[in-house]
Amino acid sequence: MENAIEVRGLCKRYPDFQLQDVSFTVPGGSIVGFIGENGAGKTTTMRAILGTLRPDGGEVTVLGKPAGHTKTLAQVGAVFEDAFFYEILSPAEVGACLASIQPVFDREYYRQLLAEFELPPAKKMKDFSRGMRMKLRLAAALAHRPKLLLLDEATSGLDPVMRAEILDLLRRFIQDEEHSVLLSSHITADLEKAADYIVYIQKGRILFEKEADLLLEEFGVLRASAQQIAALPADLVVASRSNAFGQAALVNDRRAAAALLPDAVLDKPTLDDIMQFYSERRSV
Amino acid sequence: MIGLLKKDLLILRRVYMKNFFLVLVLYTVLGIALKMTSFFTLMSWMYGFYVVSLFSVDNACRWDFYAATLPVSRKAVVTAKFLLLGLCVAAGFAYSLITAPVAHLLIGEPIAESILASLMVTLILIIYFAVTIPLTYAFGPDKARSAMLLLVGVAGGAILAAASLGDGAGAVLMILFGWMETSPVPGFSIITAATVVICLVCWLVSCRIYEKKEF
Repeated sequence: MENAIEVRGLCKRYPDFQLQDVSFTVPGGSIVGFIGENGAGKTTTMRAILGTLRPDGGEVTVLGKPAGHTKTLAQVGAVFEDAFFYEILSPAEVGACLASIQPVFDREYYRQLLAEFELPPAKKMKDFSRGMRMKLRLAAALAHRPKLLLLDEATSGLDPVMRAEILDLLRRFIQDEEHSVLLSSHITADLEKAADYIVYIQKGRILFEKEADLLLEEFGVLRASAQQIAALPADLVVASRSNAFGQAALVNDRRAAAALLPDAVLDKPTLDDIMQFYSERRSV
Repeated sequence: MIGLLKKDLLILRRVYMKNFFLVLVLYTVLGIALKMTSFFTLMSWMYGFYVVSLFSVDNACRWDFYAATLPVSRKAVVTAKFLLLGLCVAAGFAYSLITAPVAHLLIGEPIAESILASLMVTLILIIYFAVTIPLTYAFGPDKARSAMLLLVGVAGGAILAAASLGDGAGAVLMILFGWMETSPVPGFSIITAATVVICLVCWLVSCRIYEKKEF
């Protein structure tokens, strides 16, 4: 299947921040994890994908059409943490409004989702917990059976059980290869479980776009002496740091590092490790 | 469009239902007790304010951004607000139509005169709120409210200044509203047409401002 999202050379300038030549794709039938520190540009990029802001350069294609196209938006479900219906409304009322807004709105599926997420249809949203509100946003985003889901911090505020259920739901969502998900999250453990690809943005620039399995397989956290790490080829070491237990480095080729330092400890990294090392590299 | 209207009407029901009935009863009782029929025409003012207050509600939940992620055009979002304003002010006018016979019984005010006075107030209110909407889109609800108060203050000041220059307030009022007695039909036709034109201009300006917005 073709790419669900194609972002090419996206630029957006603000007085205190800019997206610089952001390029990546979300292949059809995949979950792409979008990671980066706070203020790195994740939400701005997602807004450009939805067409809610005008880029200063580059182009964004969503489901084969330019971003923001009304017909395309009918096939997109978006969940953002702080943008939704006013909290005085109930899930049933939200559903009634969306049924008149979305060209295709599956009322029965919406009811099923509310039941599955244990959301009382008549209760006002303001009486919901943060997790319940997020689940309602997700139900609202899924009920018109979109081809593409854009989720900005959609699993935050949810307990581990609910997060696991949502990740399972996302996996089921993409199973037919026709559906795709772009998921930004600070809970990188969720992305390790669910994402097929990882896109890492830092200070408005894409640092890498890689298959999640390959990324975690190729990269490694090396624990060795400062001299040993300093002796490694520069292009092998992403960043290094010292702590109470010695020196550690993130290497982008675990096998190569193991061949060069056979006695050193080399661990498989987590996405958190990778983010922390990249973040420290920037601050050096 | 229907969904957008439905959402606003649901919020109005949830937020203002009690206030609506309270004001309805209070104004009706005050109008009858004080024999002041202006209370009956002021309901349109209240309803218009309900609509304008929705902009603050939308701001609080970042509705405009969420709406931009839905398959609705920006023009539809703006149009829905103007339609809602029209509906609410029309509901206020309908109330004044219903209460016109009450005014007649209370103070002997001719029913036709009551209705014409209500129509005049309604048209002025439509203009007031229609101008408020583009200002709200441009500057936000708080600044727009202040800007409108300033505009009304300037207009009021101008009338007062004119009154002090000529034969007094009575003469100014005669110039402004005397036609209601002398030639009401052409006068109202012109005012109604002007209201429609102003609303159209406000709608077009609002659409233009909203189209340019980034969320």
